[in-house]
Amino acid sequence: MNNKASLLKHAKLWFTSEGRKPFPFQISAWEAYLKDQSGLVNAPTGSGKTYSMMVPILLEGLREPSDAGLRAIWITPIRALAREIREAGEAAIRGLGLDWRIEIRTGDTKVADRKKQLEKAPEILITTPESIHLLLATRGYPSYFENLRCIVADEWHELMGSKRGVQLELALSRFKTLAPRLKIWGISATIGNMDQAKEVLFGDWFREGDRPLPTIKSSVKKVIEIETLLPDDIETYPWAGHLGIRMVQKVLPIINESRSTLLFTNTRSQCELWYQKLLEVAPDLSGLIAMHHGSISRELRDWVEDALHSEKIKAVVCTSSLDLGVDFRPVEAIVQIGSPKGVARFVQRAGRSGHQPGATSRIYFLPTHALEIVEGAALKEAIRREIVEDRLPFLRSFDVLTQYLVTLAVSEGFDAEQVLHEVRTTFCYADITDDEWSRILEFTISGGSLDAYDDFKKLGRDKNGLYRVTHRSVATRHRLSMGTIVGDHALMVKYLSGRNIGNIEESFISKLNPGDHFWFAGKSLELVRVKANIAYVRKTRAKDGRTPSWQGGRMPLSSQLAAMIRYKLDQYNTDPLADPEMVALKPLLDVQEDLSIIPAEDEFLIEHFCDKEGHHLIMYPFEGRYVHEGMGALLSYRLGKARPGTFSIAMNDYGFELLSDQPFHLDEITDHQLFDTKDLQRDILASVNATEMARKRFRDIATIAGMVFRGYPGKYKKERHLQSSTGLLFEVFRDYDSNNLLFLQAYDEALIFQLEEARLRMAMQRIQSQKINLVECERPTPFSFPIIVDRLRERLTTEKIMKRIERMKLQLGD
Amino acid sequence: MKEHRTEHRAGLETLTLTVEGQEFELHPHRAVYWKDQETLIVSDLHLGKIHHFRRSGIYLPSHAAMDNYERLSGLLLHYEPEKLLILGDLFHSTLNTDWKVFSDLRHTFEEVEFHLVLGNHDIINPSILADNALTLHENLKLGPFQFSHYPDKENHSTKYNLAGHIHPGVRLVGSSRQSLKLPCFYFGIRNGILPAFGTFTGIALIKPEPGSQVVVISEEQLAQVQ
Repeated sequence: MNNKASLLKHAKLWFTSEGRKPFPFQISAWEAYLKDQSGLVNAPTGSGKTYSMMVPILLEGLREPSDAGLRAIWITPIRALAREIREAGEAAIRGLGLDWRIEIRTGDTKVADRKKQLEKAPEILITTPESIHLLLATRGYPSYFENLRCIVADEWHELMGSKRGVQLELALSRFKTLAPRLKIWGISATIGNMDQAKEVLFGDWFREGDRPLPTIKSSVKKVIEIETLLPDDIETYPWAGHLGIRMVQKVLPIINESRSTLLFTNTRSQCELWYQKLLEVAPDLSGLIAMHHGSISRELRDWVEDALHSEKIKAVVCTSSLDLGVDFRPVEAIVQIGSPKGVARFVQRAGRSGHQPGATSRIYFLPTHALEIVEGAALKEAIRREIVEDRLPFLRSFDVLTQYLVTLAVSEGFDAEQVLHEVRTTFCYADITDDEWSRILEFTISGGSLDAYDDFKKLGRDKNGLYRVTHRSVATRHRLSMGTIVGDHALMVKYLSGRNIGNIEESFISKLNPGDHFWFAGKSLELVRVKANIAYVRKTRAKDGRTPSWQGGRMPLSSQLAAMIRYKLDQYNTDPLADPEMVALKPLLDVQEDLSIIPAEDEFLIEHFCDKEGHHLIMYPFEGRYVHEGMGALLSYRLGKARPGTFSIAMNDYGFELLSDQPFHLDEITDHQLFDTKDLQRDILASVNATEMARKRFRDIATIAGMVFRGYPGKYKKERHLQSSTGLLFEVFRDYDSNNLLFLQAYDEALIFQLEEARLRMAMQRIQSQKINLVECERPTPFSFPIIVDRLRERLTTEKIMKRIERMKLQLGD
Repeated sequence: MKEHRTEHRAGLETLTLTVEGQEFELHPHRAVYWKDQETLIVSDLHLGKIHHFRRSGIYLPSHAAMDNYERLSGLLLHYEPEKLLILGDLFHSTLNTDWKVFSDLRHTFEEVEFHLVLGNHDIINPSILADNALTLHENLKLGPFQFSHYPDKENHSTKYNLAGHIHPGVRLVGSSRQSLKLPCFYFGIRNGILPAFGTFTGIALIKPEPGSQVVVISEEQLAQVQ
């Protein structure tokens, strides 16, 4: 059985024997694969995408049984998916009649199993980008991968926008050399920049253009039913807030009427609060609902996932931790609490219900403050128009490259010329210059110093001219700190029995004394003691505990969804009855119209008022909080250039506020020059925010590049002198090494990802073409209120620091 | 982005305070000059910290380490003191090549007495310290002051305590919700704390007591905020 037709027939027969019929896209993928092509399968979860790749990998095994060892690697971004893929793979192996092994290798895999996998490789390995790099840090890895025929990058749309995607790009660049018969396949949901997804995955194969690299699109269409949960009385529904707890009664009938329900919240603390509140208003749900978020221990999360799968529970309150992952067939309804921030995310979550091909997905949108109701209408519009967001890939991530070089030096050593050639085949490093390469190399090898006193130890050259790590302690430290996910400084929370509940940020625990109560993982706990980095707790009946909060980036509203919101507001001016959401919002919008206006699409609204806090100026680009943060800083800077002053900036996804203790000159505000895109980047970089943002980005960069070491068990004392804060590192680089590529990378990342420079520029251009409408308001409007009450503020000043200090006073106490 | 601070700028403005009847000239390079005793006082130098990291293969710009020596020799040239008093944490960790740089500096200023009040980081063999003509103290009483590394919060002695260890800083707040975090000199009723002299040392926020004198340091300038 080795011609293509008989192999395909074999697979179809197996499908038939299982009572199924392959989808056309699956057959197309099988055919392309068996022609030795690489490509991309564009299919949503729950559409049969796993078999589109698993089957031809096995058919190839039947066709060419002789090559021993590892034949395929299946990369999955989340560990939870691995089990499901293995089960599907095992069924296919049996069904197609092979004797292959398919195994999982992740951080959860036991040491003994990992060792066995190294001694005798399974034919298929399901793993993560991190684990692949750990394999590259293992001696003898080249022969391990030499018979590799395929790498499948599952959920590629998730990976490509992260540094884990960069890790995969680097691994692929190595494998292209090591495994001459390698094929690369991506599996991706639909994103705005599908072509770029291929460019990033295939690198030089895409650029050179002499391979077919087909995109195989599933025609399985998902039907999504959306309903916005409206408050009974809009007049008393809060103008600001992000919890939505007041609407808890609205979700009870949904939970009761569905087999099971997922309730998505935007933050972990919101997840905790909703869980508590649900039990409070419906005690009969006790034991029937659970909670799932990223700080809860793996064991607890596994339990929740199993219980959901086997229909033991009715509902799970969760965060993005359940965005991806296991197929939960019993899930019939989804509730999105608060803005989903993007269309793709909303659709993805909706797809967690009605997971089977052809089934309908049902999702409810629960707005957490009055104005947010408009997003319900905007989401429907976006889905009707089939709009989805782009995923922005990382470019020139020198931190990941630095880590990768040391990884190679830890195992087999590397030839600099060879690795440069390989690295340039990727998308991320395609344009790296010779100078940049030698600076990175020098930085990694000698620490960039010519000082004779200096004894920087990292890499040395062996007698074959290969760069190697010369000190075992450096190698050990490297292996322990590899990866691109930089965790928060968290304490483990455990029962006295030692059972692990999860992680809480140190800053929260440090405010508690033994005997104090807090809520975590849906339980009321009493702190017993803190020892090393473990907080020991016991259960308590007390109901007075505080709920922890976790830091973490708040996602900005996507430009796609933002554009729909602007459209819906504009439409309201001419057709106020177009959507039930807008009809419900009428009383609020009446107040807005009374105090100010509702901007049309060709209009840019600015509101102005004064109170005892100072002079408030509120602008509404509707472009997401990051762009607003950048624009706020930029405008403050430009205003401050004419008249030195200090501005405090607050924002949400709809607009931003400049608050000043000095009056504004309103003629300067309404001048389009203020929004000029000339010298945009220079002006952004001149604002302090860029430095602060770069400082935040540098935290991850320094950690990934191996400059921050958090110590490891048993060596606390000795290693403590090597610990430092990334803030301190940032300052040393700023003052003494400001041309360092890693330091500059922090600014680049801040511009691209934090300030969303490209989007900011487009927003400014749009405002240039709009009519600026400055409205004097007597008091805060429904639009401005949620912004003004936001206490998380940024600052920008154009005053000399000593001038500022003169007007400030010492803060006493906390 | 800033230029490197490679040369010592002599013309920096200092600020003079009176503590226990003694005149202290505060220098923005994080040192106190005690005029009466012709003594320069610094604390928490953490020399060798940057090389300690580098020796373990953790990159840090190596010339950042030199800033400590440049500022220290600049101060010694400027004041020509009789004594240099270090309130602990002279060296960050075990001996490394930085010691040679310090040793050279020490011999350049042979005529100055070097006194070290031992801190928790000072784990270098005392005989090596002694070889460099450093006089070691657990505590030191001089004039109206009692010097130590750890601040003596209770302070039952009759003398005013001056210490380091904390790396003190304060938060300043202004209208429109402005805020700034800066390192400082702190002189309370019964004790004072010096800022950390070393680069790459960080700060810890303190709560100034009523009636204390607080001088913040920002970009080589000083400002008394209380």
